[in-house]
Amino acid sequence: MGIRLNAVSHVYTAINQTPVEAIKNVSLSIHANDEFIALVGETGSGKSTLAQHFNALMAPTSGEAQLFDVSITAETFKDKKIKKTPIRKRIGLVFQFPEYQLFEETVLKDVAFAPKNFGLKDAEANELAKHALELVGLDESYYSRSPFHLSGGEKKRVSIAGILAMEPDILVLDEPTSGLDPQSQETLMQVFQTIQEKTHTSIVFITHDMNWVESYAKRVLVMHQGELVFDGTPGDLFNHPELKTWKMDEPDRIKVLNEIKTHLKTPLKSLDFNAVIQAIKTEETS
Amino acid sequence: MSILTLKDVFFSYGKTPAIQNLSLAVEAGEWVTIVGPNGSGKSTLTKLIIGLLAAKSGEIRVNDLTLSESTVQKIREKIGIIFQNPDNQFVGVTVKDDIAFGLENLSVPYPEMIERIDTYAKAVGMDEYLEKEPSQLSGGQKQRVAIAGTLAMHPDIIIFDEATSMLDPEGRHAMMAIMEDLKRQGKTILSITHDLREALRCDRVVVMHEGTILKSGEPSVILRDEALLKQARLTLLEPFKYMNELSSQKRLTDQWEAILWESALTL
Repeated sequence: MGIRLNAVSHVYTAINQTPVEAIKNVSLSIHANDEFIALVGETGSGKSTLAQHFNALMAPTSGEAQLFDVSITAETFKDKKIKKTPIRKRIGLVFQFPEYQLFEETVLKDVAFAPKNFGLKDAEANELAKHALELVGLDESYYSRSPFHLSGGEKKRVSIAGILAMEPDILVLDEPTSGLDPQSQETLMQVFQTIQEKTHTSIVFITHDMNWVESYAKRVLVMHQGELVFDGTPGDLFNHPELKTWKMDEPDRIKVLNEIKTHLKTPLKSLDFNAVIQAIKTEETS
Repeated sequence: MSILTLKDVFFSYGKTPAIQNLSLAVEAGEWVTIVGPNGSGKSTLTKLIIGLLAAKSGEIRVNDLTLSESTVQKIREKIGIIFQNPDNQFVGVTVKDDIAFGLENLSVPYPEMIERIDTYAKAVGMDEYLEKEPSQLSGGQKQRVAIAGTLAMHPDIIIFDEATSMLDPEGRHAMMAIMEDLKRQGKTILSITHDLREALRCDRVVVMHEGTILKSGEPSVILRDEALLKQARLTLLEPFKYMNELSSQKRLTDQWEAILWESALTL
């Protein structure tokens, strides 16, 4: 088991402000390999707070986060003897707009920075960096280019390679596709799928777009008002009676199919595109 | 007369042209959506219109004012912009302060300021949040406050620069409803996006690619043009896949065209 949260709650306290319970009593497990999980929920539902408990960036106010062999609680988090760095190497977190954090002169240097920082020699770090760049689909021609002169999608891929170069077991991405045009979003989602299939790295991605949840995720976690209200497959989520209560939406494909269904006299036998076209045509001729 | 006119506008960052001989006229009360991939020049265009960047050649006119160093301030007062990131445009300590900020800059008298704050907070459904702090608001709510602050300044043109791209589904739908509302009130809207779902209800879609306009036209025509969208790195919306397939088999009836269009409006 990679990540196991046991009744984790997190309360934000600030001077002169009412404490806010951002996540309440969340329990879940994420395997160290072969997971492809979408984490969804309305703005302010606690998604990002939850994600930061996945790699010990935050400590639970109550409850326990078991991250591989390390147990993080409010007490152990403060204990200097319990090192957090090895956890962060095994569970890589990519923030929203990671491209703002690119800083090196060349793409290769930027990607090799993290493994060097974790104590690897230059040659080894460069090897890892090259491998990571290959995984995100950027070939040798990118190595010596300046990260600042790349397109939005390429910058995101460079920053994700920077985390991949640490060879994490679990990769957590906070809204990885935000700000990209539709085709760059699709390319990036395919990159994640390739990484997942090739390396068996577990991937958790936060998104607002149900189309990506439907096409890529094997499992969905839904946060609503700080609570984990759903943990299951995308198919079950989109059929769930409480979908709207959780302020979630169906993907475009399902919305359109539902609309088509209400106008067909005979029920659809298959939801496959060509079958639906055939059903519409049949109805028109009869 | 057009409310906004761009004539042969050219702009480059160093040697790389970002906008090439672009001409566009927006009529008063019109809702125009500019779509295009990352790097197509959409955001540069906004910066040129509000004079944050100066065109290398060509002319930009708002009403009867030609954009220049001496008119830029006046022109900015006529244009309101809602940006992508709700957190980067919240300047007030409370919602009320935030809406008041622009009005203070315009030296609007206090009683009128209070009146405008109330009116526009109501218009975006945030009138019960006037004393709230930004940390107590969702991203969608912050965007609505930004719209109220912009509307309160009585702009002639409102620009939405990828304003929904960071919002959750509910926030996005609320934003679309507000834009429809503004259209009904006769406001001129220029919306910049790569989410084609946001272009369904507008009057005209302008497709940008590599700094120029590839094509412009009614949403019902542009949004179905798969080859055009592909060239601009955009993807056909789900209902139009069905529409185009039926149409290519010469089996698209008026009834199904209407049904599928309706289904697009639910996205």
